Amino acid sequence: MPARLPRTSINKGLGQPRRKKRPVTAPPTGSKRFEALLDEMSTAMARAPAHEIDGAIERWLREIVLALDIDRSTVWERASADADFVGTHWWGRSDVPEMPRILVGTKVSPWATAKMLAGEPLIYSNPDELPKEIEIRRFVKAHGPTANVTLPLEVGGSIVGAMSFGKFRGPRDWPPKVVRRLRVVGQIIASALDRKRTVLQALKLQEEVTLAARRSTMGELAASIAHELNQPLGAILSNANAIRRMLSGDKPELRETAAALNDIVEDTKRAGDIIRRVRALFKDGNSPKGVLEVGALLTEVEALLRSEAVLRKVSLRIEAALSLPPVMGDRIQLQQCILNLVLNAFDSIAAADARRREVLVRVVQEEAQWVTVSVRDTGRGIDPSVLGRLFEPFVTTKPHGMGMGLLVTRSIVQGHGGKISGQSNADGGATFTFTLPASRERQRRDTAES
Amino acid sequence: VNQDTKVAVVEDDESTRRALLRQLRSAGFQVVGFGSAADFVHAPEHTLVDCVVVDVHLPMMDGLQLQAEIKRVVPHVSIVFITGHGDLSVGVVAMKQGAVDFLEKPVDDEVLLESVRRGAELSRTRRAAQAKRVDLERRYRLMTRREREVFDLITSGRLNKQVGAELGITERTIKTHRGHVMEKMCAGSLAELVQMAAILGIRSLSS
Repeated sequence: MPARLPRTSINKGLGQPRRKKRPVTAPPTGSKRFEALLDEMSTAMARAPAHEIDGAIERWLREIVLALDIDRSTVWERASADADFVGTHWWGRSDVPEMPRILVGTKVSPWATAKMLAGEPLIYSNPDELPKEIEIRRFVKAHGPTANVTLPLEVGGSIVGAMSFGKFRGPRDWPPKVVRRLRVVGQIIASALDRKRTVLQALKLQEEVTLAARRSTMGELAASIAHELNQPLGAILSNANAIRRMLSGDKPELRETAAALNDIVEDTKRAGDIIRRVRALFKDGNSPKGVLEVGALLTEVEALLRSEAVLRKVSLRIEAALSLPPVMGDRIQLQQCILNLVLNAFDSIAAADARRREVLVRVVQEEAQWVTVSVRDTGRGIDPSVLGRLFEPFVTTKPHGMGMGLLVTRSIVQGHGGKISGQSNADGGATFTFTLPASRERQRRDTAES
Repeated sequence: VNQDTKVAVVEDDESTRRALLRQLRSAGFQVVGFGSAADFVHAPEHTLVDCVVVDVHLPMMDGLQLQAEIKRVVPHVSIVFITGHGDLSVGVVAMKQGAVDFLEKPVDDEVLLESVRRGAELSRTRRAAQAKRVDLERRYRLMTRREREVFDLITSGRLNKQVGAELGITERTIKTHRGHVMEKMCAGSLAELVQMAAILGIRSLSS
């Protein structure tokens, strides 16, 4: 499967400001200096957050190329155990030939690919040492290094990629000492790639679970959403029929007709807004984090829940303190949290068949740096048997519950640097509370809507 | 015909309410709108309404509760329900309790107008029947105790002779009472009198 190479390609490294005051123009010559460089690289790679690993790899490829006095270094990755090698990162001096945009191992050389898969290094000091394979000869002629070392990258016994170090214009010997150093570089890169992959997989899994939870929430709300859409549609139809009659009469009531048309316009917008809100909640993945006003967020959630509340005969109240600080967060995810907690509250009230049927959502500021959202209901309270395990997976007291809602809610809250807790009220029902750190950034007016 | 018909719309969604009012007004009905069941119940004009168009899902007091309240307070008023949900079970209950119709939003124009017309017609019939009953009750109360006894017995099929025997008075006196009964009840025939008894719900004393 060919992959598109990241934009950060060959020459980008040159334009970047130097990270440290290390003299890169005069490459470290002694092995001590190179050991020091490897130490630094190893530490930097280990510290880089998962999403910065790609950038760090490209920066360090540059350092390695300059330090070893070679011309280009390339990292190849395999997406899975039966996937091809695909070039994903590289750095080369500005005067080396351009690389193809898409690098696929078996296209470059089936022979070299087989060698990598066998866990063997590919080393040549000049092109004459290469076998007579057409592909690799063609590649070396067009783009290729005149001397090269390519090493398989291994993690936990499987080959996850490869790494090439190339010298252009003229032969070069690769003494065992140098190859050993290159192996160390390869190990550092391999473990960084492995870490990135693990973290990304976990993130993706979490995203999938979150999305599944969101979809199931929206599934629960489907009837309400249909109702919510039927309101403006019904009004539009009524107005249209009224207009038709008003215009067909002897003296058309123009003023009333205009008023009806205005209402049609407004209701059409309203229907569009509903669809947008629903679509946003169904959207894959997550929206980027931004500065949000929790009050506005609640208003949107309330719009989604209004019909559901009427249908379930629950009075839903929203209380937002005036002048709340904004929070930094993912709007859709936070909406999902509040939706989950309020729908749980509705369920609890239904299960208790409570006489008082109230859900109160409050947002207040606490101790300057926290915004606290609480959802209080008059349901049956928290079953003591699950009190300590509320946020564990598959813990539920609902007849058809999956036991994922609160888990997802907590993971979202924690992802925002907050905390969540739940307790039964002294006067019946339960209250779930989560906190979000207040953002120091001044809120831009448009962010809540973007 | 529509001009003489007063229709109330009880709908919490403001824009829907405005649209329904406009739709009905454009068809010639006199209209009045309410945002909640309580607003309608507390409004003085609710007794004058011929038909109420009610959204089933209202906050606080819902459509079915309003239906029960209307039945109690202004039983002649007919109800056309509209709903945004396809909630069949609610519809069944509503129809069983005498709703004229149960319509799903978005509601077809002609269907709504037809239902409202039918509802108004039904209300008028019921109102007329009620007025008649009130009038009959008033007249019934004009009669003496003895006259009422005679009324009860002859409307349950007794002959004068039998009534006289039962009450222990002569057939001649019965005839006099009977004349007063016909006069006070404004009945032209025995058949008419029997009908009145049915409306008043008077059961034969001997049964």
